Amino acid sequence: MKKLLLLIPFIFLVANLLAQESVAVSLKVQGEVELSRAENKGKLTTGAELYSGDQLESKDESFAALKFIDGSTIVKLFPLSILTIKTESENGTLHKHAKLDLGDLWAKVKTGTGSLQVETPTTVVSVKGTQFLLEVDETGATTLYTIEGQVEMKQKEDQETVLVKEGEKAFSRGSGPIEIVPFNIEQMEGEINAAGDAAQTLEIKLENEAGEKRSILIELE
Amino acid sequence: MKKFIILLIITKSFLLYSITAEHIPPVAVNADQVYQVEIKILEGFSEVDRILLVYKGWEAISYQQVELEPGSATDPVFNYSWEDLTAFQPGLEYYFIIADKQGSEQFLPQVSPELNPFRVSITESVVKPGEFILLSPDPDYTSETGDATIAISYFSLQDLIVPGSIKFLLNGKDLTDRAKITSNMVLFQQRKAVPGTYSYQVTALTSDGNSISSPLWKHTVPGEIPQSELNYSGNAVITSRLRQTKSDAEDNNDDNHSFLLNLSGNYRKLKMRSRLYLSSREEIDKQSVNRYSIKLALPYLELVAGDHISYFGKYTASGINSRGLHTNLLLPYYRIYFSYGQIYRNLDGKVDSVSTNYTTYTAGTFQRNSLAFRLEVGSRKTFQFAINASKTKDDKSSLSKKYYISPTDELPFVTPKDNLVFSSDLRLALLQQNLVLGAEWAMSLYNDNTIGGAIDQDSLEADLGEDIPFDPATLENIFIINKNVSPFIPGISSSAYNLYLKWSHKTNLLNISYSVIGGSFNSLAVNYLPKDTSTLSIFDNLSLLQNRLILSLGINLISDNINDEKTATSQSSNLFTQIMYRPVGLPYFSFSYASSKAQNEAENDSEQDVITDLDLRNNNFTFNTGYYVNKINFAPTLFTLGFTNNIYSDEADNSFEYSRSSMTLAARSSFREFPLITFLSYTFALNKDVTETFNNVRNEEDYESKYHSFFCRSEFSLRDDTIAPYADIRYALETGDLQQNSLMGNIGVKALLYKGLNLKTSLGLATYENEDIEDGNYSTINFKLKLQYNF
Repeated sequence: MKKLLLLIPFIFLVANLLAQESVAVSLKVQGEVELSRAENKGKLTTGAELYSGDQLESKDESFAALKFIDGSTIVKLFPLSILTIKTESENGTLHKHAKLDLGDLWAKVKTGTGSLQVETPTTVVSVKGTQFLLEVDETGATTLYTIEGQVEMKQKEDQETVLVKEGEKAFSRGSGPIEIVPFNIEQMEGEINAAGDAAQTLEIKLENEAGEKRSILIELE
Repeated sequence: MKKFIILLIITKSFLLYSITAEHIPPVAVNADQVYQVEIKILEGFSEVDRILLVYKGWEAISYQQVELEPGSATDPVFNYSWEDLTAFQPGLEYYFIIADKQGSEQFLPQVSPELNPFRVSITESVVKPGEFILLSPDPDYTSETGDATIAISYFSLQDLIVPGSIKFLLNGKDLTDRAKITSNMVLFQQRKAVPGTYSYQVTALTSDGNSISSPLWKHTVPGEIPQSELNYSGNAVITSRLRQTKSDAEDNNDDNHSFLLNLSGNYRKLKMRSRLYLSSREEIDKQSVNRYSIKLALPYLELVAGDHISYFGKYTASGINSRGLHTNLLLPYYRIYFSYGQIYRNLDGKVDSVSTNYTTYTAGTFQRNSLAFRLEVGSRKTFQFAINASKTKDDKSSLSKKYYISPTDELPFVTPKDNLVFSSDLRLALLQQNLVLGAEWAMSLYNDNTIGGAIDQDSLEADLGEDIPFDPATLENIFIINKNVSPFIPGISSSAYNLYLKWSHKTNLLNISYSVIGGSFNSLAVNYLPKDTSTLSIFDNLSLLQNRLILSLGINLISDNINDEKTATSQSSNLFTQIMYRPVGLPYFSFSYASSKAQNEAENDSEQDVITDLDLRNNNFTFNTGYYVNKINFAPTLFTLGFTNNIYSDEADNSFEYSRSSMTLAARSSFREFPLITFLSYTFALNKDVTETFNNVRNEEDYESKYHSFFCRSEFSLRDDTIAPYADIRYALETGDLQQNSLMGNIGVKALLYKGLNLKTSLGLATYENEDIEDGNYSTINFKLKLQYNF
């Protein structure tokens, strides 16, 4: 028994020394973004590794941009948001599952890569490609803006599923029908551009109901 | 960073008195991976003083040499690592000089090492653009602040890549130590980088022995480069070795420590490089082991103070360390090289015994100085012509008379020498340097004994039988002329010449050279020069199927007695061939055969009965095969099987025949779920020596022994390979006419303590039992420590 008790700390030590596999890296952090891992908390920094199960919480006027290890997905977390990332690796493909409990998240996904699902308190959003913005308020109500490609939204309570196409936004309270309408470019532009600045610029091309084309620039490092 | 020995092709072992050594070179290595060359001492480790590695690229003219890092009695492997082999492409050739504690030296390969060295192809990495993913920054990123996060993912390759083989290169410089390497990603934080363009790349080795690399990515930091920037980098290395031996006869303690500091930097256009090496082996009564040098370089001008090995032509001055002053003027179409320094320091010798009537001494060594000059005209890329001169002279006043003149008969037992060499060489490169023709010719003046100084003019005229227009005494500062000059009148016997051709056509490389060194040619500033020999060497190497099939064939023919001054001519021939095939997804195999023959032949039939017949033959055959089994899911394994046979015999007199046959079976496994690599091997060897001895009657004695060796090694990789502990154990047993066994074990760790600070340490224990030698049992404990800081 004594030998077993002596062996246990050794196993924990070895387990601690053995590195977990990272699943993403933080490309840019501005302001204060808290990283929770197991029972430990700390500040997220630029260039930090992220592991499956990590939770990020951005404070006021803070944001974080991260990229998954398979290079397929960039995620930008806006201020006052809570995001948990989880992944599964299967035959060299990384299946990404994120949970947005509160706040706003923008993502750009390459098609043909592993799946990306984002769960909110009321819905599950499955990305078919390629860009979308997700908002979750305190009540858990979820708004999805599909900027490019199409995204599937499923309501948890009644399993209602809708396909939200490019230029459409979907709203879910958690129950009842999901509302889909075209979204207002000017309304979204202010929210996206308010978060952070960096050297690299991503261009999002939008077209409003009147057919006017505009570009929203999201800058990342 | 771990080393990775890719393939086995040749195992060569030899006997140096009581030293037996083994070297297994790979057939091919990757240009951007670390190649660690190893030579293992199977017997007589305690007799080895040091081992030098002499190496050059296939297309280079001159060899360089470096001392190998010594092993220990429990891990008797001397090694040297090349971080980057790009400069030696398309191949590397090298040989070893093993020096024992009595001052004797032997070579490996034994036969004509400069003509028949170990040859290794250097292959390019396979670029894998899809598998390595640049996560950050985006292509063509421009950083205004000089800060950038470089993140490169190898997620899809992580199961295939050998742990610890990842390298991160920034602007061609290996900065792996400063990057963070995880199981699937490389992270490097660039802070406040100076303006410029930065290129970066990741390379790695895969479990099936290939080298892969990412594309070369770039980003830019705009702005002008400040002119007053001072840049520097370097490394500092501390090593310690402690050994304690306990035996039935006596106990012995031995320790060895060294410190190495390399520093390089630049201030505007001035570049500097310095090296400081201090060793506890430095002794005042032996040649210097410490090394000091500082090199300053401006455009077109270089100045080196301290220890330096220069090249002044193959026969004039090359391969020997000179401590002094060295300058190079390097202009586009002409270049001047100058060197003056001490190549041996004076050693006083020793008093052996003192009695009433006499005192005996061991001879000392004179201080030897060398002055060398080289003028090159033209361009190496097209046509180049050069003239060289060297004067090497022993300083008679550097040694007390008692250490070179016998007190009993006043005769010298060691003499100071004087040597002048003049040479010229030319090189013609055609077809974009794929065809190179060259020639070199040299003549020497050599005085074997300058004790009496220059002869006077009258005596010289009397000896020659004719008048001479100069007084030798006036030329004493240039060259001392007396009766000990050899030859007295320079001629063909005091000349040497070399002709060579190198032709590279697509994937075929052909080397042909013919050289003659006269029997009276002497060059004290050249490391190794076999006199009175002519050598014809032909070597061809062909690579096919994208370097997967390599064919080599070579022949060396050596003959002495150039001037027909001896009663017999010795001739030796060496033929070697090797074939290596590495198909994708199938077992590889390699085969090599080398045959050497040394014979003599009387100049006249009447002298045939007088000379001793010589006919020595050496035949070596090696076969290796291996297969990487990826389908063992939990631990993909590389299985290898090697067989070698060597016979060395006296065919003329049948006085001996030494036969060695060995077989090695090995398995190297990389566990997928656990960061562990294991290596297991079993070696069986059959040794048979037949010797004829004379004790009034001719007797034949047979010695036959069987050798078994079991080896197991485990290497762990913890905390993203920043800590890599290992353990190994070897049991060797010899039965038959030799009864001995040994058990060796080592534990050690390699760790990255902090950015740029690496630690390697090991502790080993070995026990030896020899039933044939009284008091032949002993045990030894070895401790090694190496701390390296890169900055």
